[in-house]
Amino acid sequence: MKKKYRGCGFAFVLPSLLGVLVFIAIPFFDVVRRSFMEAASGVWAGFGNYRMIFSNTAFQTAAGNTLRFEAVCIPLLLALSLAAALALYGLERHVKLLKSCFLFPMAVPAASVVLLWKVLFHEQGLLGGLMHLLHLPGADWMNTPWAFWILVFSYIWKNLGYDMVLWLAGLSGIPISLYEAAQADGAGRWQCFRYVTLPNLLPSLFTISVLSVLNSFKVFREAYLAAGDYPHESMYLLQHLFNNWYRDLSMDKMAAGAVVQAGVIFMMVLLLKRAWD
Amino acid sequence: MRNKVKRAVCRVLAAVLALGVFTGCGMDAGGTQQEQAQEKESDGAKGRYLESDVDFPENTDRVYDMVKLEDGTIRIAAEDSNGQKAVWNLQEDGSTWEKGYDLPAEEISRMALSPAGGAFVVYTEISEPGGMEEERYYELDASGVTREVPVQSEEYVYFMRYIQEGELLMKQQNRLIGSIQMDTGEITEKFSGTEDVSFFGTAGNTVYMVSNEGEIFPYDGKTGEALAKDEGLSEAVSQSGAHTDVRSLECMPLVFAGGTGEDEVFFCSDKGLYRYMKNGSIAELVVDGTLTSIGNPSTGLISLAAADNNEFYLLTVEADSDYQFHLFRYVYSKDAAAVPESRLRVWSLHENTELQQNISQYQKQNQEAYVSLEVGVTEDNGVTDSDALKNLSTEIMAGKGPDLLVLDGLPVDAYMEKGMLEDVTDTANQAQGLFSNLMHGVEQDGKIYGIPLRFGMPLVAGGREVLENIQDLQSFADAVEELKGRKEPQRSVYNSFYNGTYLAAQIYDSCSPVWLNEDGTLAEDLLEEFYTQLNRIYDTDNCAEDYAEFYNGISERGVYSDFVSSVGGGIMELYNDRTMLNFGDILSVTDLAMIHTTIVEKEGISYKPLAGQSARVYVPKFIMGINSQSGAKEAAKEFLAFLLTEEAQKASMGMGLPVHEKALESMAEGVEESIFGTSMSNDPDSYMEMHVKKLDLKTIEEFTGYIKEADTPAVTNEILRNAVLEQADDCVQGNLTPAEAVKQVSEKIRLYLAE
Repeated sequence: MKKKYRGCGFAFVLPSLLGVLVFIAIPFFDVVRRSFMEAASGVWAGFGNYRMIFSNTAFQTAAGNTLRFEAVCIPLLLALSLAAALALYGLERHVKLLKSCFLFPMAVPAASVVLLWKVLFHEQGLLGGLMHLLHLPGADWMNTPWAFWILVFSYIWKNLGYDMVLWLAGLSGIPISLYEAAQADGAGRWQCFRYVTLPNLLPSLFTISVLSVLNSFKVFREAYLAAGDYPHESMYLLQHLFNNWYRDLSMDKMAAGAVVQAGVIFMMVLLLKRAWD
Repeated sequence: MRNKVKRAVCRVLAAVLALGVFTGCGMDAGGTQQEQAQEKESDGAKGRYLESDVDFPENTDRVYDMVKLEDGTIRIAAEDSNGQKAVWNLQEDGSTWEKGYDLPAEEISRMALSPAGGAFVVYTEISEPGGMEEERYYELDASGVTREVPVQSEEYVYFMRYIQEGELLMKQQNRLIGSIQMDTGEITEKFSGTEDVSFFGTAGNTVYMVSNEGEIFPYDGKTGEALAKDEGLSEAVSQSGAHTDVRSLECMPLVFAGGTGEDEVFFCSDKGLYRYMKNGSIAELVVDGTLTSIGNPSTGLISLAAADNNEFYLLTVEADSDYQFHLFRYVYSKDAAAVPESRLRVWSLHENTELQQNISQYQKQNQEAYVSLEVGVTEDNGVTDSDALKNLSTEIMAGKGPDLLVLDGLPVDAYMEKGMLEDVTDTANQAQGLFSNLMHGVEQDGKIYGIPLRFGMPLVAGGREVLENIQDLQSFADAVEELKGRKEPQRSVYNSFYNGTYLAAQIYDSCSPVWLNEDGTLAEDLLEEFYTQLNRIYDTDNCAEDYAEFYNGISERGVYSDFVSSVGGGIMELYNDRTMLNFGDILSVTDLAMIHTTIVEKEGISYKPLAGQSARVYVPKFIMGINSQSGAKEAAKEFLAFLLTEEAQKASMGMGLPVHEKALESMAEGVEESIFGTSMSNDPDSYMEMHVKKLDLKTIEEFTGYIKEADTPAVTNEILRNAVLEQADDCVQGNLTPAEAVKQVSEKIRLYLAE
C-alpha cells in the first residue's frame, strides 16, 4: 500500500521534475560546460574564460555594483518591509486597502516605471523643476552617480509590498499566547519584539531574504529600458554585461560569468540557511 | 470502490500533467518539422514562372503604355531615340514587333491604349514663347486616325485607363474619377465617393479604386455603380505586404488585369504577381517578387496583361537607371524548381534598398539562385538595434545564422575576434576595377573580413584662397574664425541650420580615425582637441533658434544618420551666396554635380577633401562579410563577387558612392542637367534653386584622383559616434568644457571598451 502511494506521489511530481530538468537543470549544466569552452569554435579552454572575466574591468565594475546593490538594498528592504508589516499588523481598520496600496507598485509594468523615472528624473523632469523652484541646480539624474540611488529607490518601491505581505504571514504565525506570557512576565513592547517577535520570524527571514535577492535581479528590466546597454557606471550591473556579451557573441565569457554569479548566490543562500539554523 | 476511482482519477491527472509539459516542446518541434517538411516538399517540387525580357522594337527609348487587345495581341506605344512615336504589336513568335500605326510627333504627356485598338493621348505644348504649357487631347481610332477632343478642363490629368469595352477613365488633379465624352470633351464625374482615391486600375470592366489607406473599392466601369466591397481582395493586398502609396505618376504601386473568367483578377505589386478570384478569401502567388525583377525596389509598374496562353506581360520602368523600360514575360516552366535550390540568406540591421536591387539583379541572372534579405530593424517590428543583434546572435549560436552579413552597426571587432567572419581577401583581390585602396575597412593581420560596397568622403567647398589654408582641423578652425570676422550681411560662414551636434557630425569622419589607440583605448587628448576646435568653429550667431530646436529633436531621437553628415545639405546655401563654406561627407554623384555647378558659376569657388585630425579619409559603407559558419560559403563568395561588379555597383541610390571605378565614372557621366530647388516650410523667403550641370571629364578625373589618394578608413563604431555627438551641443553651448565633454564620452564608452 505504501509503495503504491509513493508511486502515485512520484507520478504527480514527475511533470514538474521533468520541466525543471529540461528547462532549468540541463541548460544550467550546458552553461557550465560552455564556460570551459571557446565561444565560436567549441574548443576546450579550461579555466581560461574564468581568468579572462576576473581580469576584465567591465566584469569587475559590474560585479562590484551588483554586490553593492545587494548590500544596500536587501537590508534596507528587509528593515523597511518589516517596519511596514509591524505597523499594519497592529491596525484594525483599512488593513486590506493599505495592503493593496503597498502591493500596487508590484503590478506596475516595467515600461510604465521607466516612464515614471523619466518624468521624475530627467533634466527637465519634475525633480528638476522642484530643484529649480528651490533655486538649486538640476541635473540629468540618470547620468550622474545618483543613478544608483534611483535604482535602489525603484527596487524598494516595487518590492516593499511583497516583502511586507510575507512578513505579515510570518507575524500571523506567532502564537498570541507567547506575547501574553511575556507580558505577564513584565516584558514591554520592545522586549516582546526583541525576544518573541524576532526569533519567531527567523524562518520567514530566510525565505524573504532569498526571495528579495532573486527579485533584486529583476531591477535590470527598468535599468535597461531607461538607460540602454550602457547606463551610467554606477548602475552598470552584471546583467548589463551579460546582455552585451550575448550581443557580441561572447558566450564563453558570459557562461563563465553566469556560473560565478550562480555560485555566489548559492553560497549566499547556504550562509543564510546556516545562520537561520 | 471509492479508492479505486480515486486512484484512477489521480493516474489520469498525472498523465495529463505529464503530457502538458511536452505540448510546448511539441509545438516548437512541430513548427520546425513543418518547416522541414515544407523544405522537403520544396526541395522536390518543380514548376514556377520564369521571367524573361522581351526586346522592344529597335531604338526604343520610351514606352508609354501596354495593353492586351481584344484578339489577345500584346500592344505597346513607344517612342524611339529620334522622337518617332508609334504603336507596335507583338507577333506570335513573342520576339518581333509589327507597327500598328504612327502617333503624332508632338511631345506626349500621358497616353492610354484601348483594348479595342484605339488610344488617347495628352500632349503638352507651349502656345507661344515664354507662355504656359497647355494640354491638348487627341483620340485615335483603331487605325490610328487622330481627332482632337475639346476637353474643357484646366485640371492636370494624373493617369488614364480604358476598361474592356473601350471607355476611357481618367483621374484629374482635383476631381473625382470620371469618363470622357470624345465628341464633346465633357468629363463626367462618373464614380461618386472617390475623393479619397489615390489611383485606380482596371480588370475587364471592373474598376478597382485604391484609397490613400490602401483599401480597394470595386466599381462597375460601365455604369459607375459602386460594387460590394471585396474584403478578400483588400485583405490579400494588405497581407502580401504590398506598398500602395503612389510615388510617381509614371508608374503605379499596384496594377490589375482581368483573367480568362469574369471572376478572375490578377494584380501585381512589389511583392509579386497574384491571382485572385472575386469575393474569395486568399490570393495565390503566381510569380514571387523576390525571385524576379518585380521585387527590385527601383522597378515601377506601368501595366499588366494576362495573355490567353497562361503567360503574363508586365511593362515596367526602372526609375533609377535613366528610366529604362522593360517588358517582362512570365512563362511557366514545369522543369524549373519551385524554389531555387541554391539559397543564400543576407542579413542587414537596417533596410537597404540598394542591396535589394542587387539581389534582384543577381537572381535575374542566376535563376537557380534564391537570395533572401532579412532586415533586423524594420518600421513594423518595433525592435531596437540591440534587440535585433541579440536575435542575430541567437540564430548564429543555433547554427542557423545568415550566410552574408551587412556589417554596418554590427560589433565587427567582436565578430573578428571570435572568428565569425570568413576571410574574403581573395574575393577583394580578384574583383576587377575596384578602388583597391578602399578595401581595408575591416581588416586584421593583413586579412580582409569585410568589403565595403559603398563609401563616402569628407569634403570642404568654399573660396579657393580659404581652402588653400585648410590643412588640418586647427587650420580649418582658423579659417572659420577669419571668415566669421568678415561679418558679411546676409551671409553666414556655414549652413545656418547647424547646431553643435549637427556641426560635429559634419566633421566627425575627418577626425575619428585618430581617436582610438591601437590598444583600443580612447585618445582623450585628441578628442579634447576636437571639442576645442569645434567650439572655435561653432558660430553662436549661426544657428537660428527654430532650427536649433528642430535639430535638438533629431539629437534626442539619436538620428545620427547620413542625412546629418552629408555635404549635400549645404551646397544650395553656398551656391546662393548664403554661406561661405560647405563641408560634410560626399555620398552621391549628384552632390558632386552640384559642387561642380557651384564652381562653374561662382567665381573663386573650389573644393577638396577635408583633412581634419586625419587626412585622406574615406568612410566605408555597406560593409559586406561572410559568416564563417555558413554552409554555402562558395555561393556567398560568388554573390559577393557579383556585388563588386560594375553592373551591381551602378545600383546606387545616393546612400554612398560605388567602390567600382568604372561604375562611379559611368554614374557621374550620367548625371543629367536638372533644376534642383529647396526651401524650409516655415520660411517662404528660403527658396533656393540651382540648375545642375552635367559633370565634365576633367571634374570626374579630379574627383577619382582624390579617391585614389584616400587610405584612412573612418571609424564606423556607432557607440563611439553617438557618445561623441551627444556631448557636442552641450560643449558648444558652454554647458561642458572640452575636458568635461571628453570625460563624459570616456565614461560612456569605457564600459564598452572594457567589455
